[in-house]
Amino acid sequence: MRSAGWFARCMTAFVVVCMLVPLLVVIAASFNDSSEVVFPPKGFSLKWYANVFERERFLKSFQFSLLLAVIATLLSLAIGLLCAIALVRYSFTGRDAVSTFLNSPLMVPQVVLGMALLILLSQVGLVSSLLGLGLLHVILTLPYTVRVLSAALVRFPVSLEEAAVIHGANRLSAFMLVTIPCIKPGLVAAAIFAFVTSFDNFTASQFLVWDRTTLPVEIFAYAVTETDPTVCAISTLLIIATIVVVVFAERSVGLETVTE
Amino acid sequence: MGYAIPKERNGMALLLLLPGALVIGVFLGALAITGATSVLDPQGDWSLRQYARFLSDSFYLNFLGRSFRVAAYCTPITLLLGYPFAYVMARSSPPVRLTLTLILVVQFFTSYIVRTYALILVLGNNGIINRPLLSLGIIDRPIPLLFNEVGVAIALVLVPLPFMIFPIYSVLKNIEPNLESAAASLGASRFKIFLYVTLPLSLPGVLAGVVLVFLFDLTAYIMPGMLGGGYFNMIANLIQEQAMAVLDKRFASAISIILLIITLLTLFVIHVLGSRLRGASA
Amino acid sequence: MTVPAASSQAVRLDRVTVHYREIVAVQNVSLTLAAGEILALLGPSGCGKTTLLRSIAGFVPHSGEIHVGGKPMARVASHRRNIGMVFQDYALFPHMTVAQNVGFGLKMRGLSRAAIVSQVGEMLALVGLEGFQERMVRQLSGGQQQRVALARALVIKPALLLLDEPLSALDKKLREEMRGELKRIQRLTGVTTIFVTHDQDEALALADRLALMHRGTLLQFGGPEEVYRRPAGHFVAEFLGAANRASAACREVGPDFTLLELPGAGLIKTAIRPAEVSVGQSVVLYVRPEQIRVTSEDVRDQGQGLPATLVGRTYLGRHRELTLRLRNGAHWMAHVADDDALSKLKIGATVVLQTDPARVIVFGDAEDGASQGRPAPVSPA
Repeated sequence: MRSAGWFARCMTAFVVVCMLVPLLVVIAASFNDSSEVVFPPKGFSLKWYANVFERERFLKSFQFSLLLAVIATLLSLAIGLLCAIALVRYSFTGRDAVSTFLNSPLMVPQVVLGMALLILLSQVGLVSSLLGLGLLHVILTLPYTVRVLSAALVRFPVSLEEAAVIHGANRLSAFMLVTIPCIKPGLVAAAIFAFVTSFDNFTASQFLVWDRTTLPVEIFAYAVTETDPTVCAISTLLIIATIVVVVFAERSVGLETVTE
Repeated sequence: MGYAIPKERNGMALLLLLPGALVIGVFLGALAITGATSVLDPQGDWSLRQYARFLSDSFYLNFLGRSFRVAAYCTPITLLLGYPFAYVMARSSPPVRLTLTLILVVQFFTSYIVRTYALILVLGNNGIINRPLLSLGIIDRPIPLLFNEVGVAIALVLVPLPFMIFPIYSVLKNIEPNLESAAASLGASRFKIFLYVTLPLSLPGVLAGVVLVFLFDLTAYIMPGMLGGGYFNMIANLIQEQAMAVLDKRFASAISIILLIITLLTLFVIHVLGSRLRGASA
Repeated sequence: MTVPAASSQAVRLDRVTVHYREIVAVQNVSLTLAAGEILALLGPSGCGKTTLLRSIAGFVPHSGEIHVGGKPMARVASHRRNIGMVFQDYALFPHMTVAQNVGFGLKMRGLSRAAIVSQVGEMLALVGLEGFQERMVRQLSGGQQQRVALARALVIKPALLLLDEPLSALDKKLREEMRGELKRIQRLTGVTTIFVTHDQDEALALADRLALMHRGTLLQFGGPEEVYRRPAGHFVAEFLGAANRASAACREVGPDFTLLELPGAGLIKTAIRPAEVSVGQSVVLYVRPEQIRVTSEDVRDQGQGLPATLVGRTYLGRHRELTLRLRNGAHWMAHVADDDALSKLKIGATVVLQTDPARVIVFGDAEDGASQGRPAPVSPA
């Protein structure tokens, strides 16, 4: 394979700088002593981190986001797995159409999705509810889980399941004892994708929150009203969390699995 | 022919799809109701008044126009930045590739809110661009990079970079290395190889990336919201404002449907273009 | 470690037919297999042999009846058929150790941990993998994986063992080695076995019975010698081993022989039951290359012989392959042992081909191609 020329390498370096510098600025600014957001930071203080943990809204919204993400991920994995099995193992007319339908939430702008769901839920009186928000998050994450799990199932040789069956396992046991362990990397990758997608979501979610809000919504609200480095602190925490998740993904299943 | 567990009548497949169908059903139902909301007036009669309202008023059309404009010029810049990145990723040694992938995935998994906020810090009057320029005397007033189109545009170029890079990388890494070697053995220069072999083969990825980024830019909410400070609202901001602040759900629905139609049309056109491309290269 | 003998018919297939979309993959196959026998399902790709195997396993719906161990399999699910199977890709569970793989069937049958450990140990010793219990599948070579697959299938003491192209993934040397191993293990355990192969040598070497299939139909079912020496039709004759083919006419019928004339080429004698062929009748005959005796004598021995010119000679190590042109222009192959006299023959030399009358294969029809051809009067071996 031919390696890249100097132009490509320069551009790449530039892009890397553009990607890293903003994050580094945020991290550095979070240690600011004054309530101004400046870079380089003046002084060193952890008080903004303290502020994050003291503000109830941040803590509660963090818990809520976590809860939502876990529920959405579990549901999305389960439903996505069933869909993936249907798509990969069975042939039926309209299989391509079904696949497109399952991908359709990705084709719709987030703001439209949020609004549409708001209107639907207000018709059935489910507006300020975990059910409604959870439904939104399942809709958001399902296309990803279906895609990743389908890819994992396609790679899985069916003869393994048949070997289990012929030697005494019924279909369900064969699936649980052989198939599931073998597609574990796919399950992990799908779970990570779904979790992060749900946790980070803002644009659509903002339509459906009430006094229980998600963390991104809280951060946004704070950022547009206040000007102190608290947002830097919480952003830094999230960046660190993201790095941890990515490193975990690479160690456990390899980033190649995650990058579709 | 691969093995397969005996397929029962397709009833089993349909059963498995049921939960997924329900979820998507809710989604499509929501869109349908939105459509219905946009065409019903308070008396319950059918009317396209909301659409007329939007399409006849240049104030509202401007939102759409400016969104298109920004998406149209930001997407090529993102392509210009993203393609080399994807190329280097596909062509480098495993350690370099891993590092680049890590950086990319961390970007991708970091919330837009965090990344946009970070850009506010960078672009502000006291930010890392203005501060050094000021102290070095190159400029005597800070360049206004926030609360205007420039800041939003910068964000719209940088934030969706992963969406551009991933599809292109995916296609590039699957190109047979022998093709390029063959071209080289026939006497093509490095640049020519790229132009005549690599670039055409990577077009499907480019197309995918371009459409993803274009639609991202077109329908962006957070970036104009945070960086524009209200001075550069785009179509998504308009929808949100109408829905949540003005509480005019019908109007908001109509605008949403218009945006949805534009999005679907774009996807359809790209899809057709993509098949033509595949047909041509086959 | 023998399987207790089931009914005398360990496997019975009765008019088994499999439809795959619009194609008939298997058509009306009937055969029986005695306990402890090895059956080879042989045929070219697409002949339906794998489909037939899989229908016995219960993976493919079919019409007709399948009985294993005397019991009808019609309503019995695959996992209850007490069948062991070795798949073409071995299908070893990658996330389990060798011991866990082999013991899988025992675990499904609810045996105690101690029993599983002991039986797995015995079986691994039997297949020559003693001590391999804790290895992971990915650490094994192809041959070792195959033995594990075999162990897994046998440890459950199945009523029937199925093997789908068990040796095709191995290289030549290993294949021949494993062939011997397979037979040894089968004889030791006495398990009734059916295996699928497209390799005729494998089929002839391993099988007690051969079932030759083509386009879904069972063309012939019998012992290897029988199928080789008395093929049921043109396709069988040509598929199983090489065969020189010629059209001929019956010249003379004697008390224990028939003289066939190959137009423009010469005469061949066959040992044939009298009154099976009449003078003047057209026939098609086959002579196997290894049955041809090449002599440089310019003698027509006992009134038969085909004069020919040596046009090619290939050294194949275990024998020489001679290409000979008959007087009518046809080219025949002969396999001869590496013999001094013959190695002196120069290209272009004139020779005479003769053959054992008892080994000539004759079909009454002059049919061409892959059609069955009616079982024709052929000499008894």
